[in-house]
Order: sequence, then structure tokens, then C-alpha cells
Amino acid sequence: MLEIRNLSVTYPDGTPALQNLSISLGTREVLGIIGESGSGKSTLALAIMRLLPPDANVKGEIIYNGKDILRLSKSELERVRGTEIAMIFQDALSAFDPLMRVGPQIVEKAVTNKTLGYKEARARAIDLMRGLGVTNPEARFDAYPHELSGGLRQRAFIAMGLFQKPKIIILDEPTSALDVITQAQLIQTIRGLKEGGLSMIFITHDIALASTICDRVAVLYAGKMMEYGSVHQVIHRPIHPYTQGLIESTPTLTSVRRGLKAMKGYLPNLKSLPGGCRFHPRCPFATDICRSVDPELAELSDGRLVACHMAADSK
Amino acid sequence: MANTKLNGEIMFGISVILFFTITSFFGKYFIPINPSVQHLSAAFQPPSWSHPFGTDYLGRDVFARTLEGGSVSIEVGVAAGLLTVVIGGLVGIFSAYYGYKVDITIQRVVDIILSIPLIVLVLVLVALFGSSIALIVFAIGILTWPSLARITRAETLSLKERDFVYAEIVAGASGIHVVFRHLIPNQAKTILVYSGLAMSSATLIQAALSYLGFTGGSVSWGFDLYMAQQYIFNGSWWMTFFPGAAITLTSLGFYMISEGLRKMWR
Amino acid sequence: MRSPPFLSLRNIVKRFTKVVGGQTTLITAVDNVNLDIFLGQSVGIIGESGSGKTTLGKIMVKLLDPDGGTISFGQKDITRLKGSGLRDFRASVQMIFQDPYSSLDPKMRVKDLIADFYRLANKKPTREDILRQLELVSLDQDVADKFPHELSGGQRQRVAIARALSLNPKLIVADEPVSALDVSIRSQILQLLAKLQGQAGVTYVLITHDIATLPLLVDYIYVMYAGSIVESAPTRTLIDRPLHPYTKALISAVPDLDGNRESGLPIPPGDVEEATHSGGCKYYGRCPYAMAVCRDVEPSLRTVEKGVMVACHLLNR
Repeated sequence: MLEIRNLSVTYPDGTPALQNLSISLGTREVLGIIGESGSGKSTLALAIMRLLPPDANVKGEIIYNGKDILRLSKSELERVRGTEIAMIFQDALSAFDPLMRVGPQIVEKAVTNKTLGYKEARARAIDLMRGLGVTNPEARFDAYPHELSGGLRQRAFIAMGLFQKPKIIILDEPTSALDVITQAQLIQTIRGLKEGGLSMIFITHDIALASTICDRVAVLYAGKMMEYGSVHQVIHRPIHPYTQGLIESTPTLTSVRRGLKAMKGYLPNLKSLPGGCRFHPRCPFATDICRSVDPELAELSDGRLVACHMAADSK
Repeated sequence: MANTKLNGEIMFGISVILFFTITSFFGKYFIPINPSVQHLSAAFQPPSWSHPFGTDYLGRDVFARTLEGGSVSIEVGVAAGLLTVVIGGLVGIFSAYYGYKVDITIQRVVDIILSIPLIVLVLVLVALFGSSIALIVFAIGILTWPSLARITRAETLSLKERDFVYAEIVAGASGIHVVFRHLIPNQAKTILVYSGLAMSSATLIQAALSYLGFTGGSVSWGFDLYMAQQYIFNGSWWMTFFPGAAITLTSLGFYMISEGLRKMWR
Repeated sequence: MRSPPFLSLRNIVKRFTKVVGGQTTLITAVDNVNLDIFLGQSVGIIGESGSGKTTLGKIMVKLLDPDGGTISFGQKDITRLKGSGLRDFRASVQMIFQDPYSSLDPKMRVKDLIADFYRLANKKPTREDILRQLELVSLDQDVADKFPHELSGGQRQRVAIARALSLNPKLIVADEPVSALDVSIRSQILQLLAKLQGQAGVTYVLITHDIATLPLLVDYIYVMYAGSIVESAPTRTLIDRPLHPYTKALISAVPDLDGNRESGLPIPPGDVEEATHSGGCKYYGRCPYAMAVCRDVEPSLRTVEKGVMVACHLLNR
């Protein structure tokens, strides 16, 4: 559905936010992008939606429907954004105009484009919200954003994203501001969307959460992809030391038995990345070659991609 | 971060104030003209070599009077400005920090103060204590602090909810400790910027008061301006121009320092 | 027998007024909570937003005054005490906050931040003292001269911990100490806290919404829902055999790495803000086992076995 080839993004101040990223999204697939701050995950989402600042340096291609999104004209882009590819991000409160009721904002684009009359739009929005698990959707339609609880607001936000029946939806940390139970509700909803035929890019820092919903995952660190494969491969049998470290240091209810191991060191400053493999200062397996040569992504025998000198050897 | 290169506004402001300060306080040693000596026969003389700013209606040298007046204006400007800043700053911060009754009480006090007209206060004080510079300083300071108090109160209300203030309280810090070691330093820039404004307006208020006759017993630009007004018609522009320009420049000088600091720090 | 509790909270009630739009509602953030903290037994308080856990934490360190109830420190009732009467309390109980940036005065260098606390305890710290504190939290010496904005989130949190420890407290209340940090840093800080438990002999009250962070540090857990404690039990017991339906839902909702933890448990609908029932059990509207009595009578906390307390009508039969 979506193919990203060699995407590199450098911000105007010289920060290399993304380096040479290549991933693809299939139909009815949930692709997970796992990373911490500085990993480039949000930059990726913004790049796909072409929401990066105009003076950001963007290289590579993002192919959707045979065309490169990065080279679409303004009108074509307007058509794609929202109608074909939608985006939901973490803070639903700031996504809504606080002075307008939620419902009109959900249907806004469709109604202004005259694709639907207001009455039908309203009915569809209410149905959509009901399908997303919103209780009393008629009342919620007329509510103001601050009157809704976090979980409801997020659902309204998703309704807004889904309203024009996009083929792809990007979710950037959709549950980070929510509590565990609301998160579980939302995951259930998202699973329903997947079954309904939607393709999704699910961006999160929570690797355990990704494992419950994603089919394939890409692990990003400081702007570069470190590992890319199915959830079964990457999360249940991680090969890259960063992925392993993330898993071992994520506290889960079973982690007490497993033992919680902390990764040493800090996240690097993107403006002054370490030489060689950017993860080497924190890697328990680092050797000389890791300190001097930045590893390329290599395909392993099980089909996954890993950027690690040590992994290439164990192929 | 902050642009620490001194910008044009600050340079201008500092130059002006420094100029007036030096000339007012030290000028008399270099230019031995007495500002109060009257030469009625030499009245209304336009600027010349012997009288760079001309003479006034009593034959007094305007240049000397301008320098002399400067010492009052600068003194009052700085002193009253500082008084405003100290009172306004502390009152606003304590009011917001302790909140509840303290805050409400102080709000009432502010309301009362805002309702006292300056002239009335000055008249009463002069009647009680006689005219003096200190009195002028006091009157101005006492009536202008509420506007800074409002600013520091608002700033403190938001600062006091920050976790580092909570951390201090949990560690046993007293209100005084929190205010002086944490709340004030975190508002220092706001307060400093405001002090320039306070001095600027204090200068103007002092000029206005002396214009109305409350000179505090010294030579003052405002009063000279008042007297000179009557003589505009006979063409003696220098009598109004120089005191007027001096007032404007001094006030502007303080203001520019404030503006420059603000630009430097935002 | 057991030594008396270090800190004891009885019948704590705290209400807030909330203004939304034109309407003012009275919210009971903490509703009749009883809690005992014993030295050496670290405790976790788990709850979601709206559960009242942060408010309870603030009341515990006397940052907030309760509207009702008593706080006892040792044998002394400190509920109404203020200022100098709290000196011993303040020296023994410290707090670590969620946002590492806002908990450090941005105008002060690290060494001054730590020295500040020493001075509050009427001690004059030497440079060695400061460096020792930094070493305790595994920070390099050169951090001492830096400002908070020059540090990463993890480093700032370490500074906050080092600072709190400089008063030699017996109890540290940590409110979401790692939630604002990156994932790979969280476990570092958790391990640091675990190490300090032994090294510095501190007891923790760990307040969080992330139940997975608790087993590493606490022996006993309180579960809060909409202002009340609905269950409390030793850590392993609570996680392996949760009794209250909310606790069960909470535990099954936590994503796990070892395959899906799909226990088949229905996810409760709605959330705390919209679905808190009043007049009976607060969980009534979301509970899959709700009975008629749950609607009308609020269950009280009862001991069902040693150390385990639950407030649920299901277990009262």
C-alpha cells in the first residue's frame, strides 16, 4: 500500500532526524514503528503526511498508489491527506479547536468539500463513533473537546481520521496519554479496524503494546532503523542488541521472573552521534568494527533486516 | 538563549542616563556657573558662548539649571523606581505565595492605594512634614508599586505550582527561603525589566509634580518648564526646550534600558 | 509483634471543586482512605488518572491538607501541624516528582540544588559531600556544575533523587518517578531506586499507573479507584491472584511481551471520569459481576486473608 524508499530527513538546523529509511506497509497490515525520543518515529509520520517544516531537507520517496507523495502537487496532496491517508496523534485535546463542538470538526472536511450534506455527515459520524465504542454518540457529537474524557476524545479524534474512509491511518502514540484500561479498549477498537480492512502504521515507544497489535515492526534508534521483521521475529526473538535491550528493560508483570536488566548509557544527541554504529556506546557486544563502521541493514535467513555487525555474522 | 550582546536600546539608554548622571552630579565642578544667581538685566538671552542654553526670565543660566535639575530627576527616578520595585515585587510575591487571607487583604490594600490621588497625598505629606525630595520619592514609590505587584503576583501564582517549589516545601523550606532563594531569582528578569519602566515613569511623575510646584525645595526641570511656558510668546524657546528635552531624554533613557533588557532576554 | 507504623493515615478525605463550562461540581478526590506505612516495607499505590493517588501522595507528605481524617507520624498527630512543628517530619519524609525538569529550579546549578537541601537541614555541605551524593546516583562529577536544562531527563531525575537523599529521609514518596522518561532509561532509574533501598535504607511509597514497575520495588500494593482503596495485598499475591474486578481488569489490560495476555477478561467500558457510580460501589457501571446490592451499597474494605483486603460485595457473601 505504502512504500517508503531511502527516506532521509534533515532539519534546517542540521539535525539528522531520519537516515535512509526503507519500509513498506501491506494491505490489512499493522506496521509498528518502535522508538524512543529522537528515534525519528514522529518525523517519519510527519514526512508521510508532508507536515514537516518547508525548509526541512527531505530525500527519498514515499510511494502511494503509484505516486510519490513527496512530489505531489498541492491539490493532489490535499486530496490524499485526510481522505486516503489520515493521522492520529497523541494529544487529542490539541487536535481539536476548543471553541468548536467536536461533531462539526469531525465532519468538517467532507462537508466543506461538498461530498456530503451536513445531515448525512452527522449521521455517519454518529454511527462511526458508536462503532468505535463511544457511548451516547449523539450527545458526544455536540460536546466540546474539553467536556470529553481522554479516552472519548481520542475516539472522537479517530472518528475524525476515519471519517473520509482513508485506506491508511497513521497512529502516533495514540494511547500514551491514556490509562491502561482505556488503552486496552482502544487497542480492541483498532483491532476491529484492522479486520475491517484498514492498513495502519502504529508508532509507539511501548514495545509490549506493539506486540499486541502489530504484524510487523521496525525498531528505530537515533534516526536509523535497527531491526525490521515480523512481531514474532523481532519481539519474540530479537537479534539486534538494542531491541534485546528494550525488551529486557521494559518492566512487565512477568519481568520480575525474567529479571529486569537496564541498558547502560543515554540516548545520543542527534547532532553529535557516536562514530560507527550509533548504538555502540550502550551495546554489550560492541567490538572495534562497531566503533568505526556504521552497519548497513542486512537481510538474515529468516527474512528480517538487521543493522548490526554482530548479527550479520550469525546469519 | 539570551542575546547577550548589548543591543542598541540598552546602549542608548545607558549613555543617556550616564550622561545626565555625570553632568548633574559632577558637572558643577567643571562648569562653575551658579544656577540660582539672578541677573535680571541678562534675562531672556538666547544661547551663546557664555550661556550655552541661554538665560531664563530671572537671568539665571539655563544650562546650569538644566544640569542641577538633573540631579533631582535622576535621584528621584532611581530612588522612587527602586522603592516601587522593592515594595511591588515583595508584596506581589508574598501575596501570591501565601494566598487566601493574605492575598485578599493585600488586594484590599491595593484597591485603597489605587484610589489615593498623588496630588492629595503629596499635599498632605508636605503639610505634615514639609517639602523635600525624600517625600517626593516616598509619595511616588508608595502609589506606583501596585502595577508591579500585579505582575509578580501573577508570575508567582504560576511558579508556586511548579514541582521545584513543592520539593522545597517538602524539604522543610520556610516561605522566606522559597521566596528569596527561588521565587525571586526565577522572576529576576521580569523585575529588572520592570525597574527600568518604574524609573522612567517616576522621572515623569516627578517632573509633573515639580511642574505643579512640588519641587521638594530644589531646582527642577518641571518647575522651570512651568515658569517658562508663560514666556513662549516672546520667543524664548530655549527656556522651554532644554528642560523639556531633558525630561524627555531622561525618561526615555530609563525606558530604553528596560526595552533593551526585554529584547535581550526574550 | 509488629512495630508501630511510621506513618499512618486514617479516614483521609479530600475534595476539590471543579468548574467545567458554567457548572461547578464537587469532586471527592480521596474518599475515606486508611493507610499504614511501616519502615522497611515499601508500598505501591496503583491507580489511573482520576483515582486520587497523586492527591493522596501530596497529603502524605503534607503538601496538601486533607478536608477530613488524621495523619500520624510515629505516635504524633500531625494533621494540623505546620511550619516548625513539622521539622522532624520534613527531615524524614521526602518526595520525588514525575516531571524531572519542573522539580529542579532552572536557575540553580546541580551543586547548588543539592547544597540547598543540606542547608535546609542546617548542615553546611562541602564539595565532597555534593560529589558523594552524585556518586550515589551514578552521576559523573562534572554534572555538579551544570544547570538542569543541560541534563537529560534521566540525569535530572537522578539529581532529584540525590537531592532528596541528602536529607537522609526514612521515607520517600515517589509520584510516577519514571513515567516521563524514555523507556530505555526507566529501568535504569528503577534499578537505582532498588539499589538505594538497600544502600540508603529508604522505604518507598511508589505511586504509579504502571503496575509493572511495582514488583521490583514494593512489597505491598494498594489499588485505588475513584478515590477509594478497593484492594490491598502483598505484591505477588495481588498480581497472581487479584480479587477485585477492577484489579483483575487492570492486570489483564497490561500489555505483555510473552504473547498476548488475553485472559478472556472483558474490558470494562467507559472510563473513570464518565462512569463512576455514586450511591453504591463506584465501580458499579463497569463491573461485569455487578449485582443489585452493588448499585445501592458501597462495599467496605474487609480482610479476606492475612494481609489481603478487598472492598467488594462478591467476596462478602
